[in-house]
Amino acid sequence: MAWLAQWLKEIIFVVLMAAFIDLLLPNRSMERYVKLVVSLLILLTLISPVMRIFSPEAEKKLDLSFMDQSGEESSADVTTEEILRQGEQLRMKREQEAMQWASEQAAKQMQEQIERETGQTVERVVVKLEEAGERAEDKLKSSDNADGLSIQAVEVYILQDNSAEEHGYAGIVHGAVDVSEASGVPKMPEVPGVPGVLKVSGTSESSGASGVFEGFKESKSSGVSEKPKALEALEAARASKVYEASEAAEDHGNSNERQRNETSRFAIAPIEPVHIEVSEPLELSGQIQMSAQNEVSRQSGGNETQGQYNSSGNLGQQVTSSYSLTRHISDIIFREWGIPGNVVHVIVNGNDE
Amino acid sequence: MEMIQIVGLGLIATILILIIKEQKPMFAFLIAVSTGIMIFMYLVGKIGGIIEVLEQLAESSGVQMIYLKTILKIIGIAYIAEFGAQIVRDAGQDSIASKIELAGKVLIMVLAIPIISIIIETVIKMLPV
Repeated sequence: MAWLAQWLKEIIFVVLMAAFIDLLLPNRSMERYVKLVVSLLILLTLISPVMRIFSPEAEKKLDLSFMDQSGEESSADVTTEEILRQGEQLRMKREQEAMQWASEQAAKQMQEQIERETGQTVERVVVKLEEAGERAEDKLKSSDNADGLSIQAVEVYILQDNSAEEHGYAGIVHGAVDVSEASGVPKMPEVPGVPGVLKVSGTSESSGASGVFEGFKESKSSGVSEKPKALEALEAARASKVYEASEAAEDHGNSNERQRNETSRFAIAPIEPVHIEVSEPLELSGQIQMSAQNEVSRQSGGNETQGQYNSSGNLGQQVTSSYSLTRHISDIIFREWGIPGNVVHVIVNGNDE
Repeated sequence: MEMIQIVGLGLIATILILIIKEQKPMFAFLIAVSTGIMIFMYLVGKIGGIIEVLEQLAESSGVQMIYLKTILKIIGIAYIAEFGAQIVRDAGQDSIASKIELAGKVLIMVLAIPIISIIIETVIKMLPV
């Protein structure tokens, strides 16, 4: 019965007010309009019990619409939705902060590990986290994301130390491969029979300088661990169609152009360091990022940022001098964190770019 | 007493206007406007008291504030529009005065829109599908 009493009270109040403002109105011209609105109000009051049954949220909507209209009292009486919305915003902000903190911590640890294991100076490590729900399909979950986060990308910026530079110096002879830095990195794949792609990417000094001579790229890979293998791969790549490849690439699209530019640039500055990558043919002709299934392809993530010059896709093998380092780093990260190699990008800060 | 004050103010203003109108019609108009504003300001305090009491009544009886707010908005719009229109009409600009009144009417109708929408919504829900 309480609702009945309330309802009656409302009706009486509204009718009284209607009569009151009818008297208060300054002139007759406004009368019709005011009467319409007031009668609507009375009607609303009359049907309010029915309204409560059929559309329970109607009153709230009315409140909101009046508030929107005048922009006032928005702070005075806040609706539950608004409070909830604010809470949601706060929660999201906190989550974001937590995510950032987690990525920073992970990056710090990764940096320490990499520095400890490779001896290279790691400038910084950037770990990009993302909520797993957003792009769950193309992302691999890392082992440390208990809360539905997954690692989108790991970028390792490496400052090459000076000691490495001496390997990468200018006086490179044709075909000389400097394998002085063998650091026990897993072997390169050798696909001798396959025509090789020489993938030269802009690089750091330490990773070996290479001079390009008449369109033929020589690489000096200092980072490669297994010398014989690296040599073999290099030789294979060279012996098969590196030259032809670069020639053939000329009639392809823009990649040729790029390559030509590169060639000329290298010719100007023979000291300029170059990354050469080797990868398996099927995975990667012309592809920047390789998948993690193959250990070999791990390193390629770094190339993306280095701007590589990939002679077009007819060749299967790519040689990089930073290959072993990159791969080593991704191995470390994979071992310690369970992050697949295809999200690991290693960027070597050299002198050229 | 207050009423006498207001009437006195009005009479003085009227006499002044009548005197000055021959020489400076502009000043006559200014006197009229300022007198109107003075009386209006004088009344604002009283209106505030009335509104306060009404709000208290509504609150204590548990009536939804929407009704009261809507009604008060209607009164306010009507009064302000009327006041402005009168001043402009005094200055001889009837067309502008009618525009002001039109604006007042439209704004009053705007107040009715949420009420109408909710009523119609409820009625539609009540109808058998």
